[in-house]
Amino acid sequence: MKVLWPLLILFIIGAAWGLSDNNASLLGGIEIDSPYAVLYISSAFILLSATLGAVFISFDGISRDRISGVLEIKLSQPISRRSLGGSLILGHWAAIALPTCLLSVVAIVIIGERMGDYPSLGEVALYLGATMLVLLWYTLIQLIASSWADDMGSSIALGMGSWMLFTLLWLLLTTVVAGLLGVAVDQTSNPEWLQIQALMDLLSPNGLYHLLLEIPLNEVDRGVNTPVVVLFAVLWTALPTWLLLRRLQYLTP
Amino acid sequence: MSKAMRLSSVGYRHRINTPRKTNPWAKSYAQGIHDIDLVIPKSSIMGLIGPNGAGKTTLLRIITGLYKQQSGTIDLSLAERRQKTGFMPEQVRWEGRASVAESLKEILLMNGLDSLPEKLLQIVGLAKRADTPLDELSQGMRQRLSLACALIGDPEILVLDEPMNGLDPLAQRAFAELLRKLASKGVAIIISSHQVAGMIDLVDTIALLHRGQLLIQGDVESVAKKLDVGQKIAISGSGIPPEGMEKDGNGWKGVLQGDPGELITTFQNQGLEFISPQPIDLVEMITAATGLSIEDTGLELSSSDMIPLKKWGEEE
Repeated sequence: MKVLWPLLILFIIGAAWGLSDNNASLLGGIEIDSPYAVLYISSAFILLSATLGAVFISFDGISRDRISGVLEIKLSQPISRRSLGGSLILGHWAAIALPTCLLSVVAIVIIGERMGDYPSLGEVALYLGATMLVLLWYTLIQLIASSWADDMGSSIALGMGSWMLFTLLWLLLTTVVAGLLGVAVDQTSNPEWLQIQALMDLLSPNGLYHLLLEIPLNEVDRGVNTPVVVLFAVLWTALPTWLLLRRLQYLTP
Repeated sequence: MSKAMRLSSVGYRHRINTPRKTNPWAKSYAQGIHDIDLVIPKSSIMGLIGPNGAGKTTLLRIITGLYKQQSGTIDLSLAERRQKTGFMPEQVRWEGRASVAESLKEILLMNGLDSLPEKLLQIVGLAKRADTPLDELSQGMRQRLSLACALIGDPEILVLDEPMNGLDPLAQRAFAELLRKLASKGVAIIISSHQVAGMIDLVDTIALLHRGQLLIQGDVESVAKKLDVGQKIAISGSGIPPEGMEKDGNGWKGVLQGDPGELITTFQNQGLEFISPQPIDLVEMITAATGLSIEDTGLELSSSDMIPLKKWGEEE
């Protein structure tokens, strides 16, 4: 956490401070005309910092104990595997979610004070809720990967690999899918491309995070209904949780 | 003697990766244990003995509820086994910035307990190390911490996998005394160890395991008798070596099997000066039970449990 605090402060507080400046201008002529717009755009910095924090905290959440032999002791205790899994998820998630939540609240105050206008309570709740959810999804992905890893090398490879897939490579994958479907990818305003992008985003925690944050933005319509976005958010929470608990049920040292 | 646990025809085989060109994720069954009938008596210390790869750790993990047996029956369910057993695995590398007390508290919570008993740390000799970070512990201290974890919740059965590794002779003696004390209070203790010479004075019964099979179980003397591995006695004396004895400086020496009284009578007129009973050699027991030489037993150890078996063949 000592390494993560500066990273989180720099990205979350720094983004709020910079983007709430009246003279701030973004590439592509994107306008920042409301406090919520600042939060929406600064969410990109959450994906670059807090999700990486979730990876750092959870990538060896199970494999480290397996390698050291402590897992053998823990699995032989009379606690149910479901409770053990629940505590693993809660502990690892809270370790990154609480600092992120705290700094996000500070960021909201900074935005409000600098712009003279605060986001509504509903917008704040959606922003914080979605941020906590994306961190939970990353925690779950990392713990599942960690339960498969037999050594530290594969833990790091699986952890960083999954983060890079969703953070850096997903757009490339989306472009390949769009290309295979015959959709032009050179025009970013093409409605078909936007819809494919949105549909692919449903399958990525980062994309789904942005789809959730787009719910109050009337000017953004990528052709995916809110109930579908909410359904996928539920699925992204429930399925990895179920998978991890099932893995733990049959986990051997 | 009442029993703490009974295993009947218990079998378990490991699944290991055997990648093929057509299926890189293919798995096959490797050797484990099979057809184990074992009674773990209360108030006694049982030594589980066998070469590397014999299946000792697999059997211990089944006893503690870490593995569910694939065949056979155990009179305690998986949950009951986890509830009633305390397990000390082999060579746990406790590491991190957490202290000894914090690590123990985590295990306590898993047992539904919330306060760290001061007595527990005293028993394992870590009372002065409660606040020491795990990274600063020696291997012996780590072994003690693992033992403390095994003792949490006053287990009825204590399962110890190679517990003497990393302990200095003084700690080994204290450890042995602790085990005898626990056994006298009704705890069933099962120990696997490679330090067979040191175990003979510690255990009440032994169980010989080889290639996943339980060869023999019983008290040390009866097992030694069944295997025809009697008590050895070292003798030495001065003068001309009697028949069968080897020359040693100005005198002679030798190791014989038999009644000490008879040996004294036989050799007293031939310069006998020294007589010393030797501990029963458990390695000799293993070789007697398996029919293999010491070299063969040692050499075919580790390879056997990692070779996937296409069929549960007759040779097992």
